[in-house]
Amino acid sequence: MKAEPQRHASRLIGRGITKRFGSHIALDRVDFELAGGEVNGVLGANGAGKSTLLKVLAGAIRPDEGDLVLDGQVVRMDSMRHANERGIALVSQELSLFPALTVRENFDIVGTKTIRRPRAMRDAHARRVLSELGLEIRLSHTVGRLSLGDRQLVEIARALLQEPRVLILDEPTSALHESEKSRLLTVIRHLRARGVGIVYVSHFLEEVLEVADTLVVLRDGKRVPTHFEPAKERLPDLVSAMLGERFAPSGRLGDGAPGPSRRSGAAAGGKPLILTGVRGPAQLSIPSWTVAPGEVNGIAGLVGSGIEELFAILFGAARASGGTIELPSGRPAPRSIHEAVESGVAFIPADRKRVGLALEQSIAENISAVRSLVQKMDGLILRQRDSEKVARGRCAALKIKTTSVWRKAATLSGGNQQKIVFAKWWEANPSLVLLQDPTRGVDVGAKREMHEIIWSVAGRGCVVLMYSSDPLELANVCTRVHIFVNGTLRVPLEGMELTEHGVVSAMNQRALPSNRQTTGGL
Amino acid sequence: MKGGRAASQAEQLLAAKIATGRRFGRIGRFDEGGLLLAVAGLLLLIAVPHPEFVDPRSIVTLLRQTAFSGIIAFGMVYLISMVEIDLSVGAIYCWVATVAALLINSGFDPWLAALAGLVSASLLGALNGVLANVLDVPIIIVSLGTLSAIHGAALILSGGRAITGMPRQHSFFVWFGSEWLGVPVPVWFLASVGLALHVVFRHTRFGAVVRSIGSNIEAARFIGIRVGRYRVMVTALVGLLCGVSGVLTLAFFKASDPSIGTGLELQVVAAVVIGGTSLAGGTGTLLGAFLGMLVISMIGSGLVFYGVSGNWAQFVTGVVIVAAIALDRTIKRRRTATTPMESP
Repeated sequence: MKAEPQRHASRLIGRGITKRFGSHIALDRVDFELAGGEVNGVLGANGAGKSTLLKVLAGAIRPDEGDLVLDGQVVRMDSMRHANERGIALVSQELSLFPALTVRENFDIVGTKTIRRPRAMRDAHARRVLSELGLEIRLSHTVGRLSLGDRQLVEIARALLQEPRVLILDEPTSALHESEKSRLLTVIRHLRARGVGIVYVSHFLEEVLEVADTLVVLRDGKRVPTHFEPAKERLPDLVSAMLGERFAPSGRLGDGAPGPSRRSGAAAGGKPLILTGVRGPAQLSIPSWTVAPGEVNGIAGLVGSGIEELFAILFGAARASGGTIELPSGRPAPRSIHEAVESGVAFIPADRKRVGLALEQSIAENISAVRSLVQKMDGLILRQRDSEKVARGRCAALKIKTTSVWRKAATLSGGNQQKIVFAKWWEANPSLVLLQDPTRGVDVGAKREMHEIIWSVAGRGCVVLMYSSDPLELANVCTRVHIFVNGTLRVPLEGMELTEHGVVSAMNQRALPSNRQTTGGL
Repeated sequence: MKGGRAASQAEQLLAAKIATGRRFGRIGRFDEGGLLLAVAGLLLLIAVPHPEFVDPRSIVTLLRQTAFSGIIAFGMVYLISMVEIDLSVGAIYCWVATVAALLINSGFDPWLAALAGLVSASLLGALNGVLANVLDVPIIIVSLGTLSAIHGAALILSGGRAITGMPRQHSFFVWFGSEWLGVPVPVWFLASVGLALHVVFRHTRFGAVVRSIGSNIEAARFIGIRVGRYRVMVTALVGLLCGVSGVLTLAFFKASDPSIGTGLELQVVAAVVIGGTSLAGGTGTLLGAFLGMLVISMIGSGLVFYGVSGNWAQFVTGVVIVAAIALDRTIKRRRTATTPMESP
């Protein structure tokens, strides 16, 4: 369906763009070329430099070296406002709307091109753009009351109202439903036909292949030189290009990651987690699934693939609409978080600051929180000396460096804070441990320590389910990785099949019934 | 040379200060230093020109005046450290005194009437918590309504008139209205309730749950703490304390008036906040709340000693409250700068 659009001469060119953050090189002499009437898909693994590149193009970051050429003229953009005036609009991943204002106010506040026209005309224009995106809402609607998907569309509409000549879309579909997605892609094709140059970034590889005319693949801050024709069949090659040789399976055993001895499932006394016929919420559907104790089971899938729902059900925060669950403690599906904790479920969340820790409370109070406040293991009277002893023991075991366990948790580094979250749940003696991006935002050393900790917990006979947004981490740490696609479970990857490449490919295989075809070639 | 010695002396002083700060930190319960200074300052300010202020009789009177609102302030410490505020405390206090007085007048045994007052007060308190849970709004919002409704109910029942003619010879009035070892019974209640609630707040599971909800309600929910349940328990406790205070008031004055307790809620909240309980939640101090209440009472009686016109009273109270807070925070800031220790 790719009707040859009227391509114009290169509209936005980046030449040798380099950006350093401290000693880290985020972009290394990247060349970039976008023609009018063209959709340019930017691909790359986490940390490959996609976001930095977009921010450079949108004027939010000034590159250390290299030039930006817009319509044949070298430009220096000092701010996004600057870029806006030159016809470059960015729809960023972090929603930047004002929730307390109405849709109209949100449009007006950025000063769209039409701001000087009479209000009736402006409103008509805004309504037309919104309905093109399939959004039928009043302009007086308060943005905060819109769904996440609608807000995303309003944000896109706001960018379109600026009538940009270059439109940069960073993960525009992460909050959208299937139907909304296809409508957005239609709008993108319209814009392309009108000669707008579009930069498109998404984790959903298939989606990028569907809409892009050209592809830029970034890896470790460099542009992969190979030219890729955007076609579905090229997906495995693309994954290879994105990941490079990072995934070499032999490397992961030698570099201090868990060795084969710890990958054995022979753990003392643990019972498995058994799901039978579990359905919903959303499209989650698991006919039969048994997860053995004593191993680290990875979970991978794209946004909306059902992993969030699965964790919510197991932690009592949501209810399945059908089926039975037998927790490793022998109890049924928990009906509340309280019940889940009582049934031996631990959840280490990605959002440490919001739900993981009470930052203003002491380390000791945080560590003993589950044990003494919810499981009531320490009786009615809590002795400071006891909780100090418990906390000291955990700090020593997990190598948490602190002068006193009575310091506020807020005074610790990110890695140590996350270790406190671990400590607090270990203290609760769980039989099922759910990990949601447990090493997000911690440094490499702390990451490794955390992987050791996770394995030691599995070794005690716990069932461990670990989700990570970094496929390499899953490939390195887990015994096997279970893949969720559209709410259903695919054949798990293990052994030689378990590579970063395999995981990413499997996550992106929507149509195929199994992932074996794509991983076989490795 | 001289300058050098001065500098090293200053360093030594600083080191000593830091060491003291650390010790305070380790003892961990002495956050009320600033407030004690404020109390001492006020005491000097009033007692130097008017020594009769420190006469045992007037001190006892001062403490008794502090007792009625102080007991309620202890409950408010729990609520505020959960990042909640109950504005209906004055109304519940009034309700209990009114209802108990009416029951006694209609022939009920005063002990029974007091018990009925306590039970109804706890239920009214719990009602705030339940409504807050059901409507999913903060307690302060619910209590904006219950404040008027409860006070209004007391007005309706009493017909807006003062209730007198209590059986003064009855054991209830004799016991609660009397003194023990020269100290009025309400003051004994203030001390024992304060001590008990202090221990509960600092050293029990209940207190720890309250504090953990206050410091991060999302994290508390996330580890399975049933926040709604604790909200009801704490509002019931606050209601009960209003009841205790109301019953003691009735026993002491041997009369009730449906206008009592008006504005009490703001005094109580002010006392708790002056005391150093953070509105951001997570921490609280019972001793601080007592000292805060004491400051407010002292200003009231100090003005009488100075013969200041009643028209000035409110103004001066406000100014002194702000000054007390400023003094306390200045001292605290200096201490947190010198010691990283954190008490639970």
